[in-house]
Amino acid sequence: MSLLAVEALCQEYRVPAGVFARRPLVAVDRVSLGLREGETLGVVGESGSGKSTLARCILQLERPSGGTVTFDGRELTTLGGRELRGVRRLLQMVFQDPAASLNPRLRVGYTVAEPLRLHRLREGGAAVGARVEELLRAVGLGPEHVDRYPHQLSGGQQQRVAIARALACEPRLVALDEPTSALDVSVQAALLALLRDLQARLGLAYLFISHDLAVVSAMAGRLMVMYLGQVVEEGAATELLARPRHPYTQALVSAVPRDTPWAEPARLVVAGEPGSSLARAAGCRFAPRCPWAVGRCRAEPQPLRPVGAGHAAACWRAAAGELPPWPGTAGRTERR
Amino acid sequence: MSGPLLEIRGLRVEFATPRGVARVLVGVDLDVDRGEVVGLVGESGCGKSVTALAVLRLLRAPGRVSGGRVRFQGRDLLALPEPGMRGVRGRGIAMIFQAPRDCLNPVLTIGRQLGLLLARHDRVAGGAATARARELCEMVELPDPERVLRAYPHELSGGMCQRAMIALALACRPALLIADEATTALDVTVQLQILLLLRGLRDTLGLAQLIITHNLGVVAEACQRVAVMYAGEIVETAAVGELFAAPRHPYTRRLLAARPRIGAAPDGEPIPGSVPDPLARPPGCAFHPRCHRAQPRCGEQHPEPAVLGPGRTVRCYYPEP
Amino acid sequence: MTRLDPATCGGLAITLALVLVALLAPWVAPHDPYATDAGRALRPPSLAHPFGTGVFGEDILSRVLWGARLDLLIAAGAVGFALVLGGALGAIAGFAGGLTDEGLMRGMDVLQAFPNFILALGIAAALGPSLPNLIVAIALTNVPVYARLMRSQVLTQRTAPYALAAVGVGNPMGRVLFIHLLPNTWSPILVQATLQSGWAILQAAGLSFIGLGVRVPTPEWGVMIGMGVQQVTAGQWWVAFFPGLAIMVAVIGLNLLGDGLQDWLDPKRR
Repeated sequence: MSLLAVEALCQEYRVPAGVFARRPLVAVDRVSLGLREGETLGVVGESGSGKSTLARCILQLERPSGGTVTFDGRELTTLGGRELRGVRRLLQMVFQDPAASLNPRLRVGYTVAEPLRLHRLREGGAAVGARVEELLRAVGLGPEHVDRYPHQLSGGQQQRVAIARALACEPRLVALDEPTSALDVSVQAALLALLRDLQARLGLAYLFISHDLAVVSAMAGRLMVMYLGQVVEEGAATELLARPRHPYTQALVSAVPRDTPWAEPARLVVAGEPGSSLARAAGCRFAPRCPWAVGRCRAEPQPLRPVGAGHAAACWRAAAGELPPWPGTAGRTERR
Repeated sequence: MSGPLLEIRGLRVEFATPRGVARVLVGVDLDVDRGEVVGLVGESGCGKSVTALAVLRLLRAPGRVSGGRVRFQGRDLLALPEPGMRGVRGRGIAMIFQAPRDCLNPVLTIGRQLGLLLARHDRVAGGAATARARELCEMVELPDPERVLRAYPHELSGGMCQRAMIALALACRPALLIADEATTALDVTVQLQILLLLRGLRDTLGLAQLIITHNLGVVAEACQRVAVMYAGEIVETAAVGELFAAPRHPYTRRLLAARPRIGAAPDGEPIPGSVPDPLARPPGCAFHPRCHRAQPRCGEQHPEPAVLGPGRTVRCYYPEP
Repeated sequence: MTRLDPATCGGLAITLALVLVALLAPWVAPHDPYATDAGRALRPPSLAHPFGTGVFGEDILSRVLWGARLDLLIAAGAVGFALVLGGALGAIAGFAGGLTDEGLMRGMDVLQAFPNFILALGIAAALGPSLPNLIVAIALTNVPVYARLMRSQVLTQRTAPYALAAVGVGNPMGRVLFIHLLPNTWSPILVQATLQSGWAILQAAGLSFIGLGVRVPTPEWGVMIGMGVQQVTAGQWWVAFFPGLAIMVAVIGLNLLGDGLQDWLDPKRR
């Protein structure tokens, strides 16, 4: 029943350093994940975590430098040309900046109709036109939008067009890369509701990427937390957000601005910033900022270890129970 | 000097566009008291950034202030001649912006930019300036001040640039700091650091702050009082606890309900419709076409703010109970 | 809904007028441009000869009008050729990347290392003075500009999300390039082309002036200036002045048009 199986995916870039030398920038470091039909996996992380790169590599919009991506039984990394184009229709992506993801010179109708023609999903002008209107209705737009240009639509409407374009392909999986980050709160809520509705009706699997834990928790059943290219924790969304075990997840959860002014969220404030994936660290990439890091953390690579039912964290100290329990709702701020 | 530190009354701003005059601000009333942190919250296009720019007289053509009054420390800022205004910018009121790296001069080191500011406003130079620069770096919790002062903006990360910008803002001991979406472009863990820093500055320096944001969570974290803005006017003001506990304006209520929250089920219905075009404002209340409590009167008469208590106003004929 | 401002309108008007003149020259010109009349040499502007006559008694006005044909042809030909060749090279370099990109760009560097005029001079001298060779020479010296412009546009647009999305929905590379990328790269290149048309006319005039372009007695503005330059000191200013004025008007018109074209081509104005 597994729709998507990603095994040890790596993406490395060579960046110039000095006059002739090139250094590797490891954007995605041996990431594995699985996704079933109709399921939503949330991928969370801050800038530099590699989450967007991960999505592009899975969809073969970028060729990963290592690892395998198995979709519906087929290995995608070895596919090329026409075969890949055929499979592409089943894995679609919605991008962060809706205005930039639509060709400014093409009308909405053309943009949504293009996949229908490319993959011969409808033949003939009338059938294509009818389907385009159907798709626009499905995302909450009307036939009056068919002849508009992207710049004549609002951000929320543009994103709906992007979703309609993705749906035109009749995909099985849709990767959503921060689909609502560029939108206002009120528009965001509507769009998320639309996405949930479409998933229920069409049985789509979602790979939902976001830096916003609140948004992700509304959409995903399972979460995967990434830091500088590595997966640091994964598990059921409710469990992970209520009882984060990896120090970075704890920092991330506690960084979410409080719900109400009187709430006293548990806080783990870590100093510094994510940094970059240039320095090839042997061990845990979070160690420089972690309040509980010891020598072993920096020296040895940290695989994911079970810390609960269906819950794993890439921290040997968390798995060994050496870290203080996460307070939950008691207000406490630890500073490093 | 009695009265609020910053007093804005009936501020109106227009933009001349090829398609007509866009009324971006239609009468903004806002107060910030000494040492108080006030949040100005609204979605994109409501005019919150324009308000800040208008206060500091930084609006450029085709925008212009078309009416209203702005008083800072008792002085009328809109009537002040430009040299006087230059004395206020940076010294009395300082501002930090959304993209810190874009707002720092890319060809000067942080130390030099700080030095220029100190020399100009405080007439401080040499050893005294260096000492003050180091003091400021400590105040904004910049690690390794020596390195930062010698660095160029592109060598610093986003969070450090923002701290550097706050240091520049504090250099001349302003009474008021305006933060325009200062944490929007930062990673969330860095955002928390900056918000805690701003709270610390309120406690240690008694720095009054006007925090402009679209993020209600930031308001809950950082502000004592909050003003909600919609389509160029303030629709509700309240102490922050009151606003979250009992929002009275329908827009505020819908905005609070529309936020995704961890652990909470995705809530309520999204707000139908969209923000009005400043070139074509609906008659009466600007929000009435989208309001679930709208009555005929709302489309005919423009509501004035009703005072519900000290510091508590609502611009609505039929506020939520 | 496009709003044409006065400057662009002016540019458009001038350019259209020039094209009309070029097309209608045989019928509008009062005299045969090649006709000579030694008895009426070097007469100042008068009713019979509004622009005066030249060294051999030829009517300057007719020659200026006929010259429009040649100069516009040269401008269009040279710029068109440079645009197509440069654009193609730039698009290939930008899209392919790697060694192809490096190789092509270093080739462009070599071409640009020579001062523009000297290079045109060299090519024209090597090929021999004639109209087609003149066009080729000017075109070749302008190829690097379009190549670089197109390359940078393609590089920018290639990583734009809409290009990625086009690949994502299953477009083959050819469609991505021609249907998605190229239409979004045209605008600055077309603008550059109109601006350069003026420059091409100047180059042609310069090359003809020193004898490497079109030969006397062909009516071409540069050649005419060459013929009239010596007369200026003798007081017969009109021989060189009117062709010079024609060049100025043409260059201004094309420049104004080019400036306005950028806005006009922007889809956001629709």
